[in-house]
Amino acid sequence: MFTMGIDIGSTSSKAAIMEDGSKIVASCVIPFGTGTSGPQRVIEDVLQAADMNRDNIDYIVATGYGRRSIPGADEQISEITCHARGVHFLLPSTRTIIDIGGQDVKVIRVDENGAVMNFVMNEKCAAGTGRFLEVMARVLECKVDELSMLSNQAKQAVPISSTCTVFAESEVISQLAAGNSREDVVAGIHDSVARRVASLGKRVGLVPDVVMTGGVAQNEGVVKAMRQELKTEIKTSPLPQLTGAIGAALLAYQKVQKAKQAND
Amino acid sequence: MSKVEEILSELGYVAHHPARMVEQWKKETGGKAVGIMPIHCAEEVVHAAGMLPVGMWGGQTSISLAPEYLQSFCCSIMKAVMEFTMSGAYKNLDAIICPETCDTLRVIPLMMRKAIPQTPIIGVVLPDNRKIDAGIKYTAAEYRSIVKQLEQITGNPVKDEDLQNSVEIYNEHHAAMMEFFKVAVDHCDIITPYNRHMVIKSSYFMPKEKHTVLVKALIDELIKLQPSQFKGHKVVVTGIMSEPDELLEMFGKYGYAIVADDLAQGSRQFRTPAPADDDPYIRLGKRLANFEGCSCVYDPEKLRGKLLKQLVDETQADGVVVLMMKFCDPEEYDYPFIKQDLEEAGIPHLYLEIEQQMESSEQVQTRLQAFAELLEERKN
Ligand code: SF4
Repeated sequence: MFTMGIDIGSTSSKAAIMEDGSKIVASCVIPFGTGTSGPQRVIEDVLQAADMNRDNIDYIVATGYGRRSIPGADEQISEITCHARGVHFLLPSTRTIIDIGGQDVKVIRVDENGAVMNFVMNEKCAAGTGRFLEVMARVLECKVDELSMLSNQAKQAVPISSTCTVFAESEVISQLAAGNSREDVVAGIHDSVARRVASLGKRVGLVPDVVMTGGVAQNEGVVKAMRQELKTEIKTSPLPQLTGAIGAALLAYQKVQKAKQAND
Repeated sequence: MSKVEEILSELGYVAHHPARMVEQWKKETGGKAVGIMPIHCAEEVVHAAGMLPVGMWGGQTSISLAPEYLQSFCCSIMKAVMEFTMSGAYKNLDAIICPETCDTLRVIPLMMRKAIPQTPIIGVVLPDNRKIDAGIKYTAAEYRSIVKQLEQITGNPVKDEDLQNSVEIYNEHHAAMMEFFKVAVDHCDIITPYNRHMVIKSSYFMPKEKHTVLVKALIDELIKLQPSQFKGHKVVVTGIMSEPDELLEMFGKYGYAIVADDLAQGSRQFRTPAPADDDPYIRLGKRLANFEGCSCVYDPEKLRGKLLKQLVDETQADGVVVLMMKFCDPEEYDYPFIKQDLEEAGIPHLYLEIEQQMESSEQVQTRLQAFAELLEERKN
């Protein structure tokens, strides 16, 4: 049986096709999120990658910020539940998930079965999110994926104290104007993200294993800063952007199984 | 339309038309109306003066004038109140009573005096030491002082027996509300989160004796019906209020029923009766002394978490939703204590930051949906 999970975020669209809830057959990430052609394209691309069409898929679960506007999805489930399930599949020893996406941050506590025990999300604010890093990258005239490499070369992190994205932007500009190196400023930016996310994490309590997911988990500089801030080992998900989609595909499988059992 | 629907629709109308209700009351009785700001000012004193007490808990409006007085980090209720004050929405109120509930409310009377100098603004300070004898006497004295000021507005003296009578009417109303909450648990399909709120909110804009009649009739009708087999998620809500309407509709959409509340606008107003005493002012003082579990009254024992646990046990609720009014410092200060108590008791809870004027509902929806999924998973 084949199931599909689609995760439509604010800045990217992700999809995964799984077989019998145990094997990833195909997956796809497109850097355009809800309200763009991203959702449609990611479905087409993932089907193509698996050499399938819609009729081969038994059940589709949509998740993410844009989950309610996916034509053809059989059901929509919140990204909290999907992430938890996806990370549990990839790293079963996970008990705490820190997910930093384009526009939000979530910290999720899960039990040994991957069920959600508790969660917190950031409020309407870009601080600590991927968006925050994007704004900073623009000021620093580099690409977001260069931030990690830059902070690796830092000698000493320049403290960035504003959590507000707008104020932090001007703080970064004045730190650069004061002669601080880009590398040191980037390290400071990563520390600032880590502080912000850590305070959210402490609300749910961080039980190991702690795993980071979401696009920002690909930035080793942030992960390192998080390790220091939380004084704990932090793993990263092997497929950080795809955990939501994988979780959705797994939940889709579970739904079909349940319905079958009920019919038998 | 069934009788239940009829009553609910009448109460819904009242809840959504406070200004019209005040107008109508004035026309019918020739009396005056007095606004009462949150949270714990005994309405009985206004009732005893023959005036209509009107709850002033903000409302739906876009905020454009209020920032002249209030910073952006004030709660949305007070922003709405100041907006209404400045736009003239309260012109039909003959006086406004402002209890010093929190740091934001402390300064509101001053701003109101400046913004609407024609309306008498009556300040009242309720004591932190509310339980000791001196505290009870002090509360009584504050209420006496309000009554004196109201007498000047109406020109009529308020006798002790008038206030005794009002206290009785309110005790009866509050008991009816608590009874309604209990009965409603068996009818979650009809008494949706939204309908439940309409029953509460309407009580702020009509004479309590009339409201009592409607609530009792509603109870009678509900009892006649078969209890519903509710399959969704039963939750207890705690916080200042559960507005706006869209929030309550979302509760409905994701399969929640509110089986009990610990809301400042809800049960906190109704759950503690005024005990008997020859002096009606002392009765009000003693009620405040006996009252427990609100972020806005001093409670060194931090009983609120325990009270929530009790509500969950009594109603067999699946969890608690903490409706955190953004920028409400008293509620924020309480949260760590209730969080700890709920976690120790193994009761799942959702922390949901709300504003009375909701600009976007996406974040709230995701949280409510995820919490519903969490509760569902616990059942399996
Ligand atoms: S909601 Fe909180 S901050 Fe606002 S007036 Fe009420 S007690 Fe004060």
